[in-house]
Amino acid sequence: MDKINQLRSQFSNLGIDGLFITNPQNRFYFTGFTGTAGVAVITPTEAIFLTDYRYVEQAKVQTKDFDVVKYQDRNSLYIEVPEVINNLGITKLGFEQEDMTYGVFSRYNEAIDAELVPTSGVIETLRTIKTTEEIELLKASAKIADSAFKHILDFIRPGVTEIEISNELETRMRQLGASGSSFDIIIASGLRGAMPHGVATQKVIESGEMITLDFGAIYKGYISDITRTISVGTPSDEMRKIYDIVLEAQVRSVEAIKPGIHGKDLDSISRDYISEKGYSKYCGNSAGHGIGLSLWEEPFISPKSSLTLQPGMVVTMEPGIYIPGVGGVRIEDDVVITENGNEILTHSPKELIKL
Amino acid sequence: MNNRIEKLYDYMDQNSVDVLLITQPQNVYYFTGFLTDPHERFMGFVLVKGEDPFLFVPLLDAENAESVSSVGKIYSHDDAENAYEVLQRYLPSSIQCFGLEKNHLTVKNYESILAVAGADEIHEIDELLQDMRISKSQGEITKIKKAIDITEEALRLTLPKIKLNITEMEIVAELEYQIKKLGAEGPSFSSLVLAGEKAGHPHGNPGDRKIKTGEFLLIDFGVVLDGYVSDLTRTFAIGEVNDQLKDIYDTVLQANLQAIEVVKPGTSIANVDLTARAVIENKGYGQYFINRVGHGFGMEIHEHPSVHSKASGLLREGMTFTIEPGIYNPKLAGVRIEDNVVVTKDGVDVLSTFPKELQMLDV
Repeated sequence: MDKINQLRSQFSNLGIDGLFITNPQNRFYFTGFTGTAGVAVITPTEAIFLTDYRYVEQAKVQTKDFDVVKYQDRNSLYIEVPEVINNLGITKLGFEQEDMTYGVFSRYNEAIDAELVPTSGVIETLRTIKTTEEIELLKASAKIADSAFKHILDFIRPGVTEIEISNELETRMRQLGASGSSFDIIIASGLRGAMPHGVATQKVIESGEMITLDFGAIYKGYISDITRTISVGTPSDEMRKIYDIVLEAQVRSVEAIKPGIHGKDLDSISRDYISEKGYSKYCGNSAGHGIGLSLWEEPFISPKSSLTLQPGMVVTMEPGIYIPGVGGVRIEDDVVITENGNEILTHSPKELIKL
Repeated sequence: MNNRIEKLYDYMDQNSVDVLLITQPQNVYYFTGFLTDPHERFMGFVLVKGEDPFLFVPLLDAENAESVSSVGKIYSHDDAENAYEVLQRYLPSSIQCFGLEKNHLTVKNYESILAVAGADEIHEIDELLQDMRISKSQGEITKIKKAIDITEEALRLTLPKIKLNITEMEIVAELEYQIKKLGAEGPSFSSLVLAGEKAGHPHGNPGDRKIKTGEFLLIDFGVVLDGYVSDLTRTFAIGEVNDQLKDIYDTVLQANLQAIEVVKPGTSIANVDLTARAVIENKGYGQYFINRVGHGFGMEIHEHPSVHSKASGLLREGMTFTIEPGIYNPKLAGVRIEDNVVVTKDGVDVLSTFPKELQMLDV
């Protein structure tokens, strides 16, 4: 109910007296509904969730603060939903303009009496500050990633392929309770380490290579996102040197995470350190990003960042060095901003692991 | 220039469309061979009357677009630029009629495009593209067939791993492990493995429910391979099941077989649904079959045609869709048998070949 009231308190600023929620993640954020069809309408006094015959029973169980209303099916959506909305006495109904297609908008616009007012990022902004329950879920998600990492260390050896590592990680996360992997797992070994987004291939792991593993779980809708770079056998001197620089950059950045620091300033900590060590040309795009229900959300920690960190935000911190023809190193943790500083959610060791 | 793109230019001529913008990733892939998920970035395939078509992509996709697409001209925009303002440079200064996908562009995209294009008239091309994509080419059917082959092989490899007390989620993990090992890019939708009465809800979620003897296990999953998908369901018996369950299974199997039987060019789409439905209703299970019998698929898991009892229109050669009748009794069990079929010149080709006779798993 807190979330709903928080949203309502913004209505007057937005010039609306109701919000029409269609984005699936935003819908889940407010309702807890995990099905694939349904829309929510929040007015100053009512919260209504509309879904079709397949999901009505599920919605009644999952959506605590909403009155559940059934519409027949997809074909009657644009008749029955407007009828319900028109009975709510809304004059200016906000909608999510980054989510609703123009085709859908046209149909609703014809049938809904209220003026439809485009809004941007209203719920996404609310979502940047996590509730205690959300932080618990993010912790659980991070814990799954940590356990899977521990497991994979016993699996990796010269001769296995990147894809086999990726499959093993994903299976392990599911066994640990994840509903899936939060993105296509990156396993970038040897020279491929220079590709920040090197999704696993059939490449075989060889002794003397470093491997960057970037992966995460989805647990009850919430994401984790962790990266570790490990070594199979003894790495080259240059790779070893790069590793130490990235580790120091990452540790310094994490230590700086606290309420009040601007995303740009946080980004520059690792960037400046890496530049100081002579690797400015090989530094990544941005040092981190928010996580929650989605893998990429505000606050973005980059040179273009526009937000100051506040308690309850959860971000990744993932500086890296990528050198074409040589390899790459990235180390990433998930971190929640607390009243006084931060708490790290991912606990896998960061000292260089040599298998 | 390929035939598909030529068809678009012809359409532009016939309908006096000056510029045509295609943004839906699968539609872009269909015309250009370039498939990407641009997330929040702007990406499109643009045809200007009398000029060569071009792809307009985020900078980080440009290299890939150049190497895989059949389009000669690639323009890009970087993250620091306003994509729409960059696009404006490549558009004619005066546009009378602008064609776009109203059901794909968000209100925000739409307004941003109109702000730079300044067109007097908007022409919707959603139906044109849907109509072009509904009949699959031989090349597309070959890709779909490969996706189905991997799906069936993954199922075959997973069955021996199904033992007493394994959970639904563990079976999902095994299936998805197998499909990736076999070369698929990933599952085409959230794999469904539902045991016993849980399968009585057509859209249940796999969880930590353990499988037991004497009940059914429903497995519904598919893969994405080379941009094309599969979607297969089989229901298995865990050990011996009673006659009531066997009757349900036989009824669904008959519904599946008879619905496939009526598929050929010129048959009404609704007839496929009605045929399966009649079988199930005649056996007294009508109240437990409350959804459509199938849906088109291809690059997306749900495409046209939607195969339901009130569907208008006739089957056409090259249409690919699922036939998946089911009986869902939330207190007892759920059975669904789903095949992937293509309408051929004079009948039907069932692309999925996994056996359909009731198979008892030895757990």
